[in-house]
Amino acid sequence: METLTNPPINLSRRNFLIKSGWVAAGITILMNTGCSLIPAIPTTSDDIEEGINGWVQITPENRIRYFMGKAEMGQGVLNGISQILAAEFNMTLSEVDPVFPHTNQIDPVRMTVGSESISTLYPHLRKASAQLKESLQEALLKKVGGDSNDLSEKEGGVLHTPTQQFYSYGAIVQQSPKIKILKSTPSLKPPRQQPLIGKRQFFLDTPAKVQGKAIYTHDVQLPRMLYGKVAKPPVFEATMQSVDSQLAKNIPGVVKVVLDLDDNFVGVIAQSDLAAAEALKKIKIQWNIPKVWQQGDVDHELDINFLNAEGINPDILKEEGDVEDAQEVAQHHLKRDYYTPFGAHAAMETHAGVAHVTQNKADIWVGSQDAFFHQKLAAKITGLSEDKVNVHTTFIGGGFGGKVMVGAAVEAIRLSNAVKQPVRVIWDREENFQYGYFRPPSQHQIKAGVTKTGKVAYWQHQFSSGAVIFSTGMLPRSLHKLILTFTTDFGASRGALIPYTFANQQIEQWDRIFPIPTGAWRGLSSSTNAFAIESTIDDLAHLAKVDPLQFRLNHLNDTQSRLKAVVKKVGELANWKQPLPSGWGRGIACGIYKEMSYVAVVADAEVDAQTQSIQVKKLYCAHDCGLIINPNSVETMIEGNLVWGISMTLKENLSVKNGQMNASNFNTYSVARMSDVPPIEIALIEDKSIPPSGAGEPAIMVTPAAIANAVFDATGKRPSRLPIRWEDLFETV
Amino acid sequence: MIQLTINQKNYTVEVSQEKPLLWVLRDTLQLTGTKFGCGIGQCGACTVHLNGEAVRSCQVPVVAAAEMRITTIEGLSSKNDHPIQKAWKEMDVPQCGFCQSGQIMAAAALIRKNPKPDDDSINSHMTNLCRCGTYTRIRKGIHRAAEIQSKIRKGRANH
Repeated sequence: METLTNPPINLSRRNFLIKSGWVAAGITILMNTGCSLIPAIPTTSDDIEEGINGWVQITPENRIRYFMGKAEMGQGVLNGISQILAAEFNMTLSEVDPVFPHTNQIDPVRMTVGSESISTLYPHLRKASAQLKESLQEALLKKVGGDSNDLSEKEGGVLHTPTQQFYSYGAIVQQSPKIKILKSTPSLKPPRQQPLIGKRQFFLDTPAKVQGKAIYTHDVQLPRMLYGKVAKPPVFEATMQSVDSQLAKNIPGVVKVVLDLDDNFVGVIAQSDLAAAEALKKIKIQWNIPKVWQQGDVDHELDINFLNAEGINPDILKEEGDVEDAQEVAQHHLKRDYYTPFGAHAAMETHAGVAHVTQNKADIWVGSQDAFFHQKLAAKITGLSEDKVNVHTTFIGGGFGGKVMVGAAVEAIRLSNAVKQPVRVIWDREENFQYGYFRPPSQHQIKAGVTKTGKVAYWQHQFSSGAVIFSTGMLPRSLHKLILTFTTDFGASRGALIPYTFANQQIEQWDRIFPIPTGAWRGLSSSTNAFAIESTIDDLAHLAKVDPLQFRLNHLNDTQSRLKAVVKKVGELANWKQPLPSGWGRGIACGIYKEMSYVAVVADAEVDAQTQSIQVKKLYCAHDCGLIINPNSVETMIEGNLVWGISMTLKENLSVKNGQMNASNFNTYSVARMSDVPPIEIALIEDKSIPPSGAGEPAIMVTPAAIANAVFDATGKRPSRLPIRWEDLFETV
Repeated sequence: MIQLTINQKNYTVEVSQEKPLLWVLRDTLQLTGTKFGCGIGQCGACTVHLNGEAVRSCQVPVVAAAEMRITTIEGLSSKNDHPIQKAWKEMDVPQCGFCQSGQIMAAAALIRKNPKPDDDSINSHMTNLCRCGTYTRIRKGIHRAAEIQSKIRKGRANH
C-alpha cells in the first residue's frame, strides 16, 4: 500500500512499466486532440473491455500491481477490484498493490457513479487476468516445452507437472521480460471454486487511513505552490458588470488578480490562503442581478396542480390497463401529495484541486468521480491537447454524486493557467454549500384505490423534479434543454416504476428547469420516489386492513422472487410482529434499485411527545446484490445508506432564500450524527450464480419510506414531506 | 516566531499568531493527517490533542497552542497501535476516511478519561461528523478499544 500512502508522484507510464519489469502489449492510448466548440461533458462511456488489459500487471516479485481506474471515495471499490484480481491469480489480498493512475496512464474510464463499478468491471477484470495468466503460461511453455495440459494452477503460479517444478508468475515475468498478451477468450472458474470470492477481508486502505497517511486532494502540496480564491455570484445567475481590483493588488502576498469579465470570473492568486481570501474581499464587483429566486418560485415550478391546470404535458413512463375504469371497482380511494426538498452532498472533504499548468503541459490533482472529465475541461481552458493534460487521482473524501465535476479544480486550472505556476484551490465549507450542485426537490401526487378483497385496483403517480442525470450543474443550459426535448431525465425516474402487479397504472413525470444547479445525489431520485410510493403502499395496506408486509407480498408475483425474499427475510430479522415499547412505531419498505439490487428495510421509530422529537431506534435491512465479493464491504455500504436514510428523513433540509441556498455550513445544514444512529442489523441474501450488481445506493432507496411508515405506525399521522418534522405532523396552521 | 511542541518534537514557525493551528499543522508543517472540514468547529475533522484534551484545531489560534503538548494523528502511536487504531482496523471503521483522524483523536481522548464508556456517553462525547455513516462501527470500535486498553493496563499492572 506504500504507493497509496506516499504523496502522489509523477510516475510516467513508461517508467512504471520498466520499473515493474514487464511491458504489457496491446495497450492503446486514446488521444483526442484539438479544441472544439462542443463543451466538455462527463465521461459517460468507455471501451473498458479493451482498456482494462492495461491496468493489470504481475511484477517480478510476484505481486499483482494494477492501476485503480475507478475513483475510491469510501465505497471500497479498491478492495473489491483487488480481491477479484487476487482470486483470479490464486493469491492473497496482501499481494496486491493498487496504484492510483493519472489519465494518460490508462484509457478513458467511465465516471464512477451508480453503484456499478464492481458489476461492470467484474467480467472484464476476470477476463483480463485470465488472459494475462494464459499469456504467462504460454511464455513458460515456450521455455520448458509441453502444452497447457502440463500446467496446473497453484497459488500465485503454475506447477509444471512433468517436472514437478513450480513457477511463480513473477518468475515467468523475470525470465520473459516481453510478453505478448493473448487476446483469447479464456474459460473462467465459477466463483464457487474461488475461495477468496465472498470471503470477509480486511480493507487494504484502513491502516493508512487510521494513521492519517492516506492522501486526498486537500493534502497535495507542490513546490512553489500558490493559493487561489475565486469570487462567487451573490445570487444564482448574477453576472458581472464591472470589477475594480486595485485595492486587492496592494495586499501583501498577492501575486496576480485574474479577470475575465465575459466569463464572470475574478480570482486572486497569492502566497498564502489568507492573503488570497483577504484580497478577494477587497475586490469591488458590480453585479447584474436577475430575478432573485425564492423557494416558493421553485415550488411553483414543480406544483403538480399547476402543471396539470396549465396543460403542460408530462412524459409518460408507464401506462397499463385503464386507470379511469378501474376506479369503479375500488372500494377505498386515496389521494396523497408528497414533497421532498433540495439536498446537499456535504462530503467531508470540500471541493479542491491543485493545478500546475505550463506552456506545454498540465498536471492536475483532483479527487473527482470523473478524472477524464477534468482532463477534457483542462484541455478546453488551457488550449493544450488532452494528451498533454495529466489528471492525477487521489483518495476522495466522500463523493456521493457531488464530485463528478469539482468546481474548485476548474478554478485552480484557470488560475494556474494565468501564472504558469502550481495553484491550489480548496473551497470553504460555505462555498461548498452554495456553489456545487444539489439533489433537486420533487413533488408527487398519487391517486390509488383498493378493492374489497384488498387488491390495488389502480395506481396513478405524477411527479415533478429538477434535473438529475442531465445535471444543470455541469451541462450548459442550452444543451440541457435540447436533451430534454428527446428524452426523459432517467435519473429523476429512478425507482418510479413499481415492482407490484397492479393491473391499472399510469406513471408520469415532469422535468422542470430552474436556475439552481442540480444533479446526481446518492441513489438519485430512487429514495424520493420510494418515499412517495412506499408511503402510499403503506396507506393502502391500512385501508385494506392488511398487514403492510403481507400486503406487499400479496402484490408481488413470482417474477419478483428476489424482492419477495428480501421482504420475508427482513420480517424474520426484525421479528416483524413483535410488540414494541409504547411510543414506538414500526414501518417497512422495499424496492428494486436499477433493476439489479433488491432491498427491504424495517425501521423502528420513537415519537416522543414530551421532547417533540422523532428518533430512529433500530434499523433492519435485508439486501440482495447478487454475488458478493467481500461481505464486509457490502455491509459498510448498507450501513452508510441507512445512515443517509436517517439523515435525509429527519435532518437534511435545504431551500432557496433570496437567490441563494439557505445553508452555509454544518450549523445551518444538519446531517446525522452519532446520537441519531441506532443499532443496525443486516441480512445478506446471495445466490452465487447471479453476477454481482451494486451495493452503494440500494438501501438508501427505501429507508426514508420505512422510517416514515414507522412514524405513521407510532402516531397515526402520515408524513407527507421530508424532512419529517414534529411541527408538520402535529401543528396545523 | 512561535515555538510548538508537536508529537514530542519541537518546531519553530514564522506565521501570523492568529493563524488557526489546523493550517499551521497542514500547510506550514506538512502534517496533513489532520483535516479541514468546516472551519467553524462543527465537524471535528481537525481534532487534535492539546495537553491530552481533544480540541478542534480550526478554532485554536496557533499562539494559544504555543505552551502546550500538541498531539496529532501522526503522533498518536509510534506503530499504528494505539488501542483505538487497533480497534479501528479490526472493525474496518473508515469508508472514505477523511473524518477518521478526527474521530480517532476524539475517541482516544474519550477512553483515556472514561475507560469504559457506555453508548450514551459515546453518543454525547462523539459529536464529530462522518458523512459516510460509519457511526455504528465507531461505536463498536470504541467498545473494542476500551477492552484492548484495559488488557494492556492489566498486563502492565501484573508486571
